[in-house]
Amino acid sequence: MKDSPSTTPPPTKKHKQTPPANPNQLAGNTITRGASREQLSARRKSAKSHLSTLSPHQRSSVLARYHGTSGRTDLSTHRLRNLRRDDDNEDTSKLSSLQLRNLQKRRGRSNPGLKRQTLRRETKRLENAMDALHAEEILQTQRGGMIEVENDMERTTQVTQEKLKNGMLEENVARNVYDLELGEYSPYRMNYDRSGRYSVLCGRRGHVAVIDQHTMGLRTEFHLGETARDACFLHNGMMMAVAQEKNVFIYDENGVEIHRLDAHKRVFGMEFLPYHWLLATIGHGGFLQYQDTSTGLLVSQHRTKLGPCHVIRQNPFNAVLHLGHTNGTVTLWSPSSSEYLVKMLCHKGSAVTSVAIDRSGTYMATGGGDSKVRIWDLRMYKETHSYTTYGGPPMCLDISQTGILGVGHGCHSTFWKAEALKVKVGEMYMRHESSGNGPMESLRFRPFEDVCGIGHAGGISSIVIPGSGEPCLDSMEHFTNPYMDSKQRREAEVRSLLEKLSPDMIALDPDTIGSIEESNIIQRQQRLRNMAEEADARKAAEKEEAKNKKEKKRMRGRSKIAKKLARKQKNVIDENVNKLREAREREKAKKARQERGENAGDDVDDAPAALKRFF
Amino acid sequence: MKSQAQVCLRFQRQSFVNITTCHAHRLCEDTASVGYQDMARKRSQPKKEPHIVENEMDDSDDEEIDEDEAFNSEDELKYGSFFVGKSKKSKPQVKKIGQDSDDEGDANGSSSEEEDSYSDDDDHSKDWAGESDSDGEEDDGGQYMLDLLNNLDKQVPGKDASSSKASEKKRSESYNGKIQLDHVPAAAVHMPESEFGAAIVSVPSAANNFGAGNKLTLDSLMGGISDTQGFTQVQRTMRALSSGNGASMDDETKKLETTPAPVPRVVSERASRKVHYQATTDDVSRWKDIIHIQRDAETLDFRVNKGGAKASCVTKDGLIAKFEAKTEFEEELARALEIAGMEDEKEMQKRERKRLLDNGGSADGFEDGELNEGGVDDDLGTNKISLEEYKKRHGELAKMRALMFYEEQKRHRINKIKSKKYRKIQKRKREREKEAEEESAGLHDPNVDREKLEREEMERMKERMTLAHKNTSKWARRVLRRGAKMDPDERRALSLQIAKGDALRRKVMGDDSGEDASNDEAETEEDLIKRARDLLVEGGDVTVDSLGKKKGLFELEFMKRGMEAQRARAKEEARRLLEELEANEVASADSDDESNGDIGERKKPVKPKVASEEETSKVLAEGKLVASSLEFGKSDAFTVTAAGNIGFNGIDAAGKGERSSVEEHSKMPKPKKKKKKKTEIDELNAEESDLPKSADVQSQDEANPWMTGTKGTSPSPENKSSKPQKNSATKGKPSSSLKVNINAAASMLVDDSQREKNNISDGNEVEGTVAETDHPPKSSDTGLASLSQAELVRRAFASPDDLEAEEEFQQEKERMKERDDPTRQVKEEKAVSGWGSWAGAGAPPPRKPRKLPKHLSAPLKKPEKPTKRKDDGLNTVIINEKRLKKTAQFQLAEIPYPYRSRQEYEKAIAGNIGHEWNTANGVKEMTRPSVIVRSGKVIKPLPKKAKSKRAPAKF
Repeated sequence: MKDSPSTTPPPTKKHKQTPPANPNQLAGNTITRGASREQLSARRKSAKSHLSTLSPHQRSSVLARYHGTSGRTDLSTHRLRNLRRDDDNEDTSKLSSLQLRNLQKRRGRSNPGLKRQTLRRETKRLENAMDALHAEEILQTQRGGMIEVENDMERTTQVTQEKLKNGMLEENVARNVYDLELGEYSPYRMNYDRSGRYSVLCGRRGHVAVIDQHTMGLRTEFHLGETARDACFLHNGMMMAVAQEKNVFIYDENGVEIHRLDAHKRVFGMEFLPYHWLLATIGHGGFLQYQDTSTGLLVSQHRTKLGPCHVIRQNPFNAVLHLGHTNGTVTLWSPSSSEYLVKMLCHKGSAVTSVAIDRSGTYMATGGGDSKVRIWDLRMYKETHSYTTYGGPPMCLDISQTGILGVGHGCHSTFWKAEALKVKVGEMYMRHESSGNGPMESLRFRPFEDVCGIGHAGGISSIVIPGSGEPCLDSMEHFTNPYMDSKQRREAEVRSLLEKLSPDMIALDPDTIGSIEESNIIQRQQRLRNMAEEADARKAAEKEEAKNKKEKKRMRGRSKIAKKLARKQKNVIDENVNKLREAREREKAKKARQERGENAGDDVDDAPAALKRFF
Repeated sequence: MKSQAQVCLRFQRQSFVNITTCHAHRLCEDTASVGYQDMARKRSQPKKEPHIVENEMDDSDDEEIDEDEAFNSEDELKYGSFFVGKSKKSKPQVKKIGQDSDDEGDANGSSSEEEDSYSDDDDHSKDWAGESDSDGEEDDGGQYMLDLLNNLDKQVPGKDASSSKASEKKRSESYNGKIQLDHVPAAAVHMPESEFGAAIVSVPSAANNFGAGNKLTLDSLMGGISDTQGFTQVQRTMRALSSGNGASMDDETKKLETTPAPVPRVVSERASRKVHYQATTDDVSRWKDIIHIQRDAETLDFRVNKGGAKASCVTKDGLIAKFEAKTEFEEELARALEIAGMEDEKEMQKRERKRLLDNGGSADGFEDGELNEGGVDDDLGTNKISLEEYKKRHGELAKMRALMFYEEQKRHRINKIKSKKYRKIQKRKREREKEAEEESAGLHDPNVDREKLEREEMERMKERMTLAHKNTSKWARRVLRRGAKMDPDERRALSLQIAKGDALRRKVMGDDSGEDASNDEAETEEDLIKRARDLLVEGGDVTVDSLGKKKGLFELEFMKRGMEAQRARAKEEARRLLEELEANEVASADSDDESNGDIGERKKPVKPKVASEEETSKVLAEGKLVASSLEFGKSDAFTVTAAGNIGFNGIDAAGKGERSSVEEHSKMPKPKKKKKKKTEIDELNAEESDLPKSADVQSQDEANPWMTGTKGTSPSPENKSSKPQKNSATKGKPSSSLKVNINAAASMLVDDSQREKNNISDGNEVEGTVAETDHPPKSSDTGLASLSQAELVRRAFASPDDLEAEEEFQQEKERMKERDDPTRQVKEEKAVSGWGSWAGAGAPPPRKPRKLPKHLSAPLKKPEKPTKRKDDGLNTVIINEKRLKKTAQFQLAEIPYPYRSRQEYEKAIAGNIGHEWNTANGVKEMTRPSVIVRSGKVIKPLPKKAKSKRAPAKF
């Protein structure tokens, strides 16, 4: 078909796509805004060069922001590698031929628009991370301080609470050092709410009290008259759950019982997941139960099959629950899976007595009956190192917001610096003894304060561990503001409910939400199996439905529209119709009477009221 | 082409045709016009069809015409004189006029029409008189018009306004072609039987072609429209065509006959399509740039007032520009300013500058001022440089740049050097240079001197703290190991270092021990042995001498006792040292035979020699300090405890053998740790493997059965550390080690597992310290009786052993693996094993068929690879690989549209854009809309072109 006449000009060359000099130089009205590609790349370059000039600490902070919530760069690179491998042999079994072809096409050519978009987004994110760093420097003036030694002969452990209280601390901090001797209902447990303002004490023999840490006053106090095994606050300091002899009860700020959770029997330990509004309990039966405290539904119930369990702790990074069992294993749970996600044999041949996870979800500390505190890296599920306790196995562990590890063993509680989680450190940071008060029952750091509350057989000791609390409040986080007034609290409640996450979103890696499913062979097969099951179920349901459906009775010539409507109207009871009917009935009766010759009676009825008496 | 134009003109003047001919005539005209169109298409493409349609519409409007308004007999009477000239017209004139009208084109169109209308009437009047066959001559409207004009000119003065108005009216009406029907006389109307009757009759040549029937022919059609100028020519051609006689043809007809056959429709259409496409492409591509820009743009903003508040905000300059003196006060001020000559800022500045320059007084400055006045507002003025100067400067710059580049390259190369040695040399060089500089410069500077002194002091302090010169460094050890082959330089360096270390140590100890240490250097092992022997033989002579001098406090009873005890201890130490030294000598002889790395290292002959000589000597003087310093030297972690309990290990640490055991403490951890990793599963094995080793260690001190006893328990099975030392340290008694060990042994008897637990320290001294402080040794020797009830219960119902626990765990892991195995389904499906296969599972692969060539044979089935699990290689971890259906609903199954790979997608969704994580500005930026438009705003279409940058002005 090459018979184009010579007169036609040759087809014009394709315009070379030259990037426009400046989008703002448009004819007429300027409608394009924002940075062009050149500006973008220049900005990106400058940001990167600026990044390289920052100090390592600052750089890591910027990168953490840049990489998102997780800040797990290593993990994400690992993940990206996985993904690339997935791309190479992707599961295309489900794709239609058209989709497959399109995908191939997409793979074949680059998409400059997309590239530009990505570049733009990344540049903005990087710049924003830098801005945030600067803002942080300006806004977060508070800095946490630790006790430091002046020379090699000094030890931080030499600083006792007495010394701290008498002269080393300011008055308003020093008042946090106190002991409550409550031997009668001991042993005690202590828990703080998210803001660190309220603490709940729970004596084993049924004494529950809430203390306002600001005023140092009792907010509420009551005696249950039965065993109280654990107590924890729900979303804020206004409500708390108490695990009692048989069931879990929820009380309000005044100690009024609001709910009894019947489903939770003989509970030993509880945790509240603030972002999902879930109360998780574990107890004698070894059942892990999730109760939604906003809707009141029992979200899920998992059988651990590992017997009674005392140790439960949430991973603040991904809301996965860690249970410590008597056979030395720690299992990780999510409401969406009826099986454990991970099982680790942490203490061979002895029970797990306590578990704590740090804020970043990277390190887990487990205490066992073998008098060891083992530190695990949860990214690899490997034990990095361990510490031995003397004077008793570690009965309670906690990791503060700044990463200080607190261990309660025997009558001692020892505190280790944040580095102790990363590497094995030689000496502890501080220690505290409550001699004669038996094994420590609970040890919890108070959020946003350098305070640690210890519950033991003698009651409660509150001590100050300098540098243990996060110095800067995050006002965007709900219920973490200790100075919240009631209005703010109400608002936060609503907001938090609006932002409530689905319980099914709890997964080991929170980044999987919204991502593409990894297609390793096991997962792929399971997915196919699941799909087949779903299809079967759907089919069965349809069949069932078809069976149950009422057959329509069709008669020839009877389904005229008017009749249909009439039939519809048949059952409707109309007042007027009824009146008419009655009237007609009366008429009939009257007629009948007339026929029978009973006129006289009739006349009485018919006659006007005034004349009736004449009849 | 002329004829074509004429035809066009003709078509434009349709109304004229209509008027001149009768109804039938008009129809003819229509058909003819169609014919012409065909003809014309062969040459070009006239598009004049719409006119035909218009004509037909005119017919429907016929009734509207009022008789009064038409040109009637009255009018004729009035304007009759106009038409007089018509009869006189001649042929040649017609021709000429026709050409004229042609030239005049459209501009004359209206006027010619006007004339036509008049001629129409005239024609009609004649036609009605039965002169319809004179078409050929009277077709010239042009000539007629001319005549008309002439007459008009003549009659202008006598004509009144009303008449001209009437004529105008008529003109407009006649244009619509509505007149002629009203004026058709009855004779003309009833005459034709058919529509074409009149035409047939009127055309004279009609009889030639078809005299017989009333058939419609081309001629008859043509004949009807013969009244236009120039049409005759066409008619002639047509006539020739219709006659079909080749002989009588003129040139034009010949041409017609040889007209080439038209191009096939497909081809012509394709060509036209191409042209159209081209045009459209050009048209569309004009938007290309702007579209490109808009696609590239981050945001399209269609708001009217884009700046928002910014655009309408008040600025200082704007206010000043708008300012006008209104109030009295302002006016007054303005006047005052004017008087002072300050009203114009520019003027003021100029004047000021001038004044300044005047004060400067230079002619040059004045010139500048002049220039400024001339309009150049530049302080620098024009800077002229000559070409040479320019070249010179350019050359300099180029040189500089080149130099910089070379330097940069050099730096780059140097920076890439990774050699440590090089760096070291460089560093030393730099330091030396600096020192030299300082010396030269700061000889008399007291500040520098003091600084230097301070620095040195600091260094010395550091030395004291770290005891860096205790020849325990890697280098020292290496040098010492070389022994006799030592380089003289190295030897010198080593001795220097030792001397320095000694001096420092002496400083630490104080002056009194200075004399003692002074001759330490020269001492050798033999001397040491000799001295120890002397000491033993002589008893406490030396000490007595030294103590004898002391008075007062030392004369007290308990002090004496203490002294005695100390002397005894020293003696004991000396004895042990002697033994060890002798043993060492023996051992060094057969150390070659020992293959065990640990022990071999422990017995390195050189190193102990250097360290121990001083130690022993000092032990003799004052055992405590030596012991502590020894501890310092061996392990840093020990510093704390050792500092607290200096008296520790008086006996043990004194001798050389013990020294070596101490060394062992510091060294053991590493190999032990490795070992532990390997044998973590089975600690019993580890115990077994450790035992002989410890026995080896003990082989040296066979002379002392007690010591063996203590040793046997102290570095007991898994113990890699200084348990006995610790214990002894806390006790602080010379015989403590013995006692503790006995206790340990007892506890071992009581409860084996408990002992193990206590002893499982990782060989880390840290834990040791914890043990010391938190957990006094008495707890370790608690028997069964002293255990609490709870502890007893716990032990009675203790969970299975480590081994069992792990085994159980492994079994569970296996089960999980089995369950998640992707090949499991296949296994299950085969209900009967071996069904469908010849040999069943695990059979060797089938033999290849012999005959088939390689490339034809079927590829061998690859053996199924075991799938990789996440918990592979983690013995104590099970990671569940079950797919979480509920979580999967928040995930995507496939890569969504614009993305090509998972990586791309992940990149796109990475990071947080919410206000919880970002600055306010950042959120705004990241959630910026791609289009901003106010509701109700009409979005203008794209401008065709992006305004390019204005070219630089040319002068």
